Amino acid sequence: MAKLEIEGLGRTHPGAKRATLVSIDLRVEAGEVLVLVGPSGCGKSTLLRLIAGLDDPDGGSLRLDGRELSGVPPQERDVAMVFQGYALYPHMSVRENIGFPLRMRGVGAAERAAKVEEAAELLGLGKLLDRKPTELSGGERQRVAMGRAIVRRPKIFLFDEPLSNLDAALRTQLRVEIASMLRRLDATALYVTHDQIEAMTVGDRIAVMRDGRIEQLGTPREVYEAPATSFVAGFLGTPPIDQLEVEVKRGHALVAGLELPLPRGLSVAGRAVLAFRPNDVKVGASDEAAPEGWLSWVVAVEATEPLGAETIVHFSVEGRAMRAVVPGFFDASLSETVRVTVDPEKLHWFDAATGRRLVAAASTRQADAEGAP
Amino acid sequence: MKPRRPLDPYLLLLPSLAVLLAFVIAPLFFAAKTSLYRWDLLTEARFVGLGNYASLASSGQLGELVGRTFGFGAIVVVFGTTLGLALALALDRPGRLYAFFRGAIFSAYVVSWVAVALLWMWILDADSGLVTVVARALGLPTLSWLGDPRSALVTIALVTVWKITGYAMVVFLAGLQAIPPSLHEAAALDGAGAWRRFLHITWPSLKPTTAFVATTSLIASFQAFDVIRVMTQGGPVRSTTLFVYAIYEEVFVNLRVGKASALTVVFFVLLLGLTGLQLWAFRTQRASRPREEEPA
Repeated sequence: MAKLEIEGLGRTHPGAKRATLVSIDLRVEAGEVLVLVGPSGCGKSTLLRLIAGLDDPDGGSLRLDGRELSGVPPQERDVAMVFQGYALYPHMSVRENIGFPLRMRGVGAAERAAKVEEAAELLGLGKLLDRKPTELSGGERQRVAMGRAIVRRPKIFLFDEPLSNLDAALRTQLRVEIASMLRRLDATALYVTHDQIEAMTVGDRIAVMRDGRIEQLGTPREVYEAPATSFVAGFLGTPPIDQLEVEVKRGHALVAGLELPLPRGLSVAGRAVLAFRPNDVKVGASDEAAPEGWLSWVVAVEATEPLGAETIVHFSVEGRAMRAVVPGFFDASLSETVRVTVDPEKLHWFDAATGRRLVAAASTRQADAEGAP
Repeated sequence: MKPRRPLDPYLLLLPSLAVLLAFVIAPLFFAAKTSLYRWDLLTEARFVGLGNYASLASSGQLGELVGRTFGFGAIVVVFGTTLGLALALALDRPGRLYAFFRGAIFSAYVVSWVAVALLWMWILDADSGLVTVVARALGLPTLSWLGDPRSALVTIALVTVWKITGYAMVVFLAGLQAIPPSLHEAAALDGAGAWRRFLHITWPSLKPTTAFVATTSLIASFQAFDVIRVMTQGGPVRSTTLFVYAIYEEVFVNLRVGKASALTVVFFVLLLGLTGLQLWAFRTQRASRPREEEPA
């Protein structure tokens, strides 16, 4: 397995008003699974296509195991890709589809058959080898596409939204299968998705992309607990993080009628964005007192969504709709008043103008979790 | 769906059926009947049984016609299809220049047969034609393309190819554009270079298109009449007398309606057989046809 180094990679499509990719720097270590996640049009698929050689960069360098890839055609890059629509060859059987990359590389019939059988066994396709792609279900086609990628052990795997054409149940199942297979093969992989759950579960690290740039690169935990920008905070997490723009005066934030002291060491002038995850919001009786320094409002319950394991409670603060996720079922009639509170440790602060993170809110907790002093 | 009044569907079919009956089925029966007579359009028809068929076969005329027509068809199908595919592959690119070439090549298909025939007569004229002038200027030997029995049929076949290739190209272009680009990309990543991508992806995907182009070219070649009527009138030495032209000649030049009718019946049976063959090929093709993958 190989390591991939990307430096200053840029791409502007002909006729486009702005760059699809703006000087990307990225290093994928050998055996690492890196997930590229971001909204449509953020450039994540373009980056994948540049690595595959299906599109040419305007500048920058791409090195796979130290070998410069610029100008190398796709068929000589030793890169395998799983496409969103699977791109199975419709006139070939499953066996021929999986064996195709070996055949193109001059692998003999006997060795090819053995390797195809092995890959098919790994993916549970043993009984389907003589079928045509049109005779397969979506999940089976997806597995064949994976088989075609793994059969020749390429230097790096590229996945372009491989699960987005499948239904939710199958997606959950295959997500786990892909993640465990990649670890078993000790494969280096780049995995593009717009699904944040896939991003969190499949990747060793996540690169969150926006407008052709990498907004944040880190482990799923870093990105979730200490988002570098308000965009990253809003992109990862279900239900999404709630954000409030607040005024800051004399070391205090004026939050919907509250004066909240700013965390130590944080200096802000003017406006800031205060954000918290619905899972960090606690809901209690309206007459319960909130601990000192906590964010605390008395609000009316506007709706509840009981999901079984948890219930989403909807409320609003100064006309802004917000959510709290409480464990189990939550009995509250509509319009009943409750007290919602948030531990100041769980608050995220961002610059209102740039969206950049203002304080490492989770730094102490993370240090605890990692056993550091 | 069940009609409210059982006769309604037949009423709706009546206009087309009437036209079909009047212009296809009735003449066919009429031809079948006349083929059993000797008739010159002027005097009383005389019953001769299968005499017309027997004389066609024994004189060798039938065999010659069938051979010539099939030979002509083979040239038109092979060259028209190959050239159409090659042009489609070469011109399946973005850009105005390519669009211009595509349009220019297709335009020949839209021009009337008579105009095409006259144009090529001028180009191929043995004394002052463009080809002759150029050949003379280059010091090459000149040839009477349409005046030599050895070259006339091939020349007319190539003129036919020139006219219908634009159509073949357009159909192939449609076929090429129906192949998802991701298949080529997947094949490239699987290690296939340009030639092997054509061999393993493009060509198998184009098989139904090729069958369609070959069929339509064959039909066009069997219908060839205008081009022969204008360019050679079946000569020299009958070397360009194809089936349809032979039928015309027997009726309107030789006034042998019975013999022409016998030729018509034979031609009909031949075409029926060919159509059956094509239908069969189309069905087997369809059964194993590579279909587009739909996302689940």
